Amino acid sequence: MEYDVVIGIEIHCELKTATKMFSSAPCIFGAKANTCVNEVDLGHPGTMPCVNKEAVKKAIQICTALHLEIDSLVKFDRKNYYYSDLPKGFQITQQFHPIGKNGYIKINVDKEEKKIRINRIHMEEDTAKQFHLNDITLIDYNRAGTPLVEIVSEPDMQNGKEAAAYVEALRQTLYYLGVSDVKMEEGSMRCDVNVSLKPKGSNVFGTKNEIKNLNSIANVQKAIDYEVARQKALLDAGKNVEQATRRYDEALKETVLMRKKEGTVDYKFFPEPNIFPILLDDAWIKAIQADLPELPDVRKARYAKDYGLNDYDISVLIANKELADTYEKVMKTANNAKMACNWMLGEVSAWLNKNGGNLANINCEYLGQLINMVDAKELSNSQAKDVVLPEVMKNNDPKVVVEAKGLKQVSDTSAILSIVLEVLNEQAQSVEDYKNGKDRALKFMVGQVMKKSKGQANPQIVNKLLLEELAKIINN
Amino acid sequence: MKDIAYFKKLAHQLMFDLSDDEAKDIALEFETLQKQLSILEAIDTTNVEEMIYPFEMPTTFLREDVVENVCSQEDALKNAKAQKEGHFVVPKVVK
Repeated sequence: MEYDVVIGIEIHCELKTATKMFSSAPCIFGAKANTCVNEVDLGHPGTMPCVNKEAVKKAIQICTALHLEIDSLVKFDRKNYYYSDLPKGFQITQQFHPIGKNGYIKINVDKEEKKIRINRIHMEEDTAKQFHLNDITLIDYNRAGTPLVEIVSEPDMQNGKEAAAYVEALRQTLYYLGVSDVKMEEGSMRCDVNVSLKPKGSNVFGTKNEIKNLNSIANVQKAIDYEVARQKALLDAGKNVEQATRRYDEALKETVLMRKKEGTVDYKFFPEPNIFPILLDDAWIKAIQADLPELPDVRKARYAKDYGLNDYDISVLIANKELADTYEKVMKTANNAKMACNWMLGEVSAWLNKNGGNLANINCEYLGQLINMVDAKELSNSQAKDVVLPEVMKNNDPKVVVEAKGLKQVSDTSAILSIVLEVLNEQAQSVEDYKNGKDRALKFMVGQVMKKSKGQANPQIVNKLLLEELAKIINN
Repeated sequence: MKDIAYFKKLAHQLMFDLSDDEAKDIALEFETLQKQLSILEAIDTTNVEEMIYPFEMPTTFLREDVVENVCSQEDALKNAKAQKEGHFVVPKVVK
């Protein structure tokens, strides 16, 4: 049977703030256990929550970037549950009045653009990190109270690829906004996916399964692909899909049952009595919106217009903001945008991968000059890559390096021609071989010219001149 | 009516104990409270908008994002029944 796949995604994203959502204790990833907490985070009696201005600002930035309507009256609610990851016995969230409603983000899959609608974005607090040992659980409350936004999509995705593109598009947007580290592997961005199948064309949703805590974009796609196949097999065999929460097991490459859902849990939501509704100043909201950092889509358009790069190059550059930032700096010096892009994605990235080092430390003017030398054929590609680039990465002036190592490529035709003629004179046998159709002889002669020029002759010009001179010999 | 045993059990679950006299007092108080609430329940509140906060005026205050009050690890763990390597220790309840 044919099915429609329905996928909705909830994303929790930790906001990059100095302090917690409701307390003035610091947010530091990887700090010593229980050293970034105060009485509010520990849920001590009598303590009162106090809303972090920067967290609200970042939530507004996110809502704006994702085209949501902002509710300027901020209200919080209690989600009551009794578990050790939040010692108050409840989580403060925005159940009834999310800060943002009805937005969207554009994704590109197989060269087709699609809008994925976003139902809501709300602010809440993160929970403690727990380590489950054999018979005890260790709790570190450092993460408890960290500001979070939850981004809830509409069920607009139809396959794993679209879901992965959605998560990546969100990740990029949040990263460009500077509101979060969005590191899925460290848990600063977490992804829960709802998947269900319905008969093709049906208006009635099938029973969904939720896959929790996917820790990479690749796993989002793999988990969904597996889950779709699993549900399809059940339905095809005339069985029912049971509503459940599952997780993705990387080793098994399967989704594994965590718990069956027996009705919805009653969290007894009610308005948070300790935080009065907060009316945001419209002028403040407008100022935040007017001062939004450049978003990936805007940058993509700019790169196409200013640099004339193709879609593929742009998307690879944009995917790594630091690389794209460095490229822009290099382009202040470099003349050839495409060549500079190739260098960034190719040689420079390869060098950094191999040798380590930080994009921020690159002298972009020197790198631009190096690329210009290659572009002007003053330096061969291989010499630029193997000899000069490592020096530029050590913050050495490429002009000085080229001078010192005598690398300047000779593109002066008359100088090269005299060497070519010299070689043709000396290598009569090779000329003869070439006449008899041995291509290798040409390569050998190119090599001889390069050797005589101490590697400085432009190989393309050498090739061209040799062919011209050989043609003259043959025609005589 | 909830009996004395009910409140003693409840207290125990909340990590404290009640004497028989205390439990008896609470049981009586609870009964009174329930009666009072039943009076409130009898009031027809159809079409009456709920009032959540004592004041209707919204506030405007937001806290600046500056670290101010941090507990030392020692203080944070002071009330913990058990601790290990700076962590709170609780019985494991997940499988």
